[in-house]
Amino acid sequence: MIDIQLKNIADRLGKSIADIARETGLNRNTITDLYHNKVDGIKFSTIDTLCDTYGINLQDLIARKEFRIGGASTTKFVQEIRFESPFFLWPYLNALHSPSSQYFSGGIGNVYAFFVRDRAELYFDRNEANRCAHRIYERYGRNGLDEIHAAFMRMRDQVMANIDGLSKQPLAQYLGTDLIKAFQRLADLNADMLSVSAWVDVFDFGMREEIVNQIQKAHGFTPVETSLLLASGETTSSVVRRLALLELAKTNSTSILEQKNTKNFLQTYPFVTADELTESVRTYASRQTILAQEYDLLAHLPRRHTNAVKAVLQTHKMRMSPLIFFVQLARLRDERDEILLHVHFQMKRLLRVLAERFHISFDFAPYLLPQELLHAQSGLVNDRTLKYRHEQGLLIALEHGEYKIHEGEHAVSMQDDLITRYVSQLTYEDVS
Amino acid sequence: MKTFHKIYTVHNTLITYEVWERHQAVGWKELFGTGTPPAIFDVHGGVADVYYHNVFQTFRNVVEKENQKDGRFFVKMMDQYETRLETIQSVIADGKPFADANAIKTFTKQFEDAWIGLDLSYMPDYVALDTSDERRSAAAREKAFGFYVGADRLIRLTLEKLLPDLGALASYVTLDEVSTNTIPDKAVLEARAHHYIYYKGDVITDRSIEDFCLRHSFRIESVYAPLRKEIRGSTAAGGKTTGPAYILTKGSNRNAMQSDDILVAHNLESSDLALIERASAIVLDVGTYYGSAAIAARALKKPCIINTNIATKVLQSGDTLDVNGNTALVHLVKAVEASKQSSS
Repeated sequence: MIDIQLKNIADRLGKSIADIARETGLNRNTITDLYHNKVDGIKFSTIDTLCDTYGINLQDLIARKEFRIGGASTTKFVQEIRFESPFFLWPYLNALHSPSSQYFSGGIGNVYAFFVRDRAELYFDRNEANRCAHRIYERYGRNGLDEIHAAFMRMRDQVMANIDGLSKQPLAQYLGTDLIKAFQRLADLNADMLSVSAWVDVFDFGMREEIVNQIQKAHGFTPVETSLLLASGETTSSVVRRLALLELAKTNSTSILEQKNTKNFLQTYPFVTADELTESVRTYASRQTILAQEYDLLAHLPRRHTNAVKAVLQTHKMRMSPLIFFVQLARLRDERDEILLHVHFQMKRLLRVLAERFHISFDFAPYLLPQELLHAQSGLVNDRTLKYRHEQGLLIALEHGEYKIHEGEHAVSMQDDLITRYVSQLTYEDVS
Repeated sequence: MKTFHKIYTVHNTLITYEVWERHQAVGWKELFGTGTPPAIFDVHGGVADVYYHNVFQTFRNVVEKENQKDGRFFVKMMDQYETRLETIQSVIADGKPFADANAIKTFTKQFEDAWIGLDLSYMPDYVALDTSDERRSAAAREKAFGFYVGADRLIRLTLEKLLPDLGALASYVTLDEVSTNTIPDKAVLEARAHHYIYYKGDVITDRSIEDFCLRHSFRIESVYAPLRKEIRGSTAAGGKTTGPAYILTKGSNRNAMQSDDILVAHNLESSDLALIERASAIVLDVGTYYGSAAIAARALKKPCIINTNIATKVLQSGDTLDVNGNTALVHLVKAVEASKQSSS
């Protein structure tokens, strides 16, 4: 169903039919028909005039509304529930759907995300996801992920440099356009980083278990040995943060918040609140043995881990672990999750200022999509729109390299279709 | 004991829930001889969690039977349905609230009939039909677009117009109450606005869903439940133990965890060490081998299984589990009984 969204745009800009007819110079009858969506077609010149006059894009004016999701009805969906908002989840979904073409041939397939209030339901095509995982394993399984890891580290450093700069800036004094530019820069870097790192989650839909089981059987590892061989023994950024925390806990002081080290810690990891930090430190203070063991292990992690792995491999008369691909996967995921904590913290900070500038309530601001910031500035996306999404639902459909957004009843209708397909493929045992 | 699964979460007027329940329990029974088992609507502030018992199986059985009797069953039903739908869609397109309570009553009857048709348009998902029938189904669903939300909106508008002094509370009256003009007190409606359970035509306000299930000896379980007989993860610490499960979620009461419960959580932070000490075993959805939970579990010599992905969705507090860290398997020994089911 093709929908002309002139009424929507007029409402948001506070214009009447008469206003539009006067400002565009178009026939009033034409505008009336378009406004009530009672047309069977629209002239190209009319589109041009409307878009030019109000600075809108074609897809804002004309939308193809759907009530069902595409694809074969036999598609098997996996549902994943998260407590996240569109603004922060969007780059991740996008990266899963279309990862960097330099390193990957195709993404995870169609992705649907339904958001309402603080809840997100993600639907992935299970077969397509496993096919994607299989392709990646074929390409990198034998030779390892060094190439991708190097690309990830390059992008991570750029993101980190950007964040260092941002964290020193007084964002509240920025101009509106500068804020958007600052946000855009961070979002672009983040998207680049995710395009080489979001894919690690593709193995969660069953492929990792399958491959690991095969290898485990072929080499006769016990489950305990397997999980040791699967672990990443590197001192990744999250390990560094935990070590810093453990060091603070070791000082065992009552006035922990006044120490210089603590202040450094909170500055380096702004996403950790002072309350969380004191809570963790207090927990460790009464458990000195666990604290000592954890610190000892993490402080000597690479060596300890290598020795343990060596011992396992020796008993099996092997020189290299056959599970090295998944170790690199775990390390990449660990590094990515850590940097995302930083990125989300800064983005939230930017969003808070942006919301204030654009007269949007911060409660609903996470329902803005990153690419709609300019629209938010011009009032085309406003508090009411976002509240509507927040209360009535928002569905993002990523299909064949493009995205579509459905709001309200359209979103609910498509979610209904997704749920029906998802639930009807589960078979219940009759317990009654 | 009946087991219910939560399938939908929606925000509607009470009358729409009545229509929902009646069209499938009564309407289906009149047409096909089998209605669906009654659903439970657990409504907080107008937003309902809808729990079903065996609804998809019932639907499948009915349509399979009808299809065997008459090969053209689907086409006939769709012909009827589409004409009904056009009538109701034209009423919705007008968008004008109805004049009186009787008009609502006739409208809800139409609404029920159209809804049965919409249910049947999903038939190709359950029974193998021709491609032409599948196209027909898609066309019918396209015609149905927005009719459910639109009808609900129309009912809400009418109620607000008919009962202006109630305001937003007007959407909590039943069809009977409107048509016989016996609107309950404001206090009753306020209680409904806070919470009610709609089951078999009764509106229950004085009971929580847990109490309600206890009294009827119903069981509510996750739709993932069939997957829970055996859960596989990877080992973080070896060992074996059996005991009741305690599911740690966002809002759960940490003090409710007994010592020697098996702690099941999405992930654990270093500040959760107190819980780890109290637990007899740890099962996590995610987690890493060198994470703080895993290290603490090894230090305390407790079995710990990580990376199960589904443990918190599938298991329920009180289930008796058998956790084997050496094989990385969690077995469900005994599911929790409804009478002992605790809210978490």
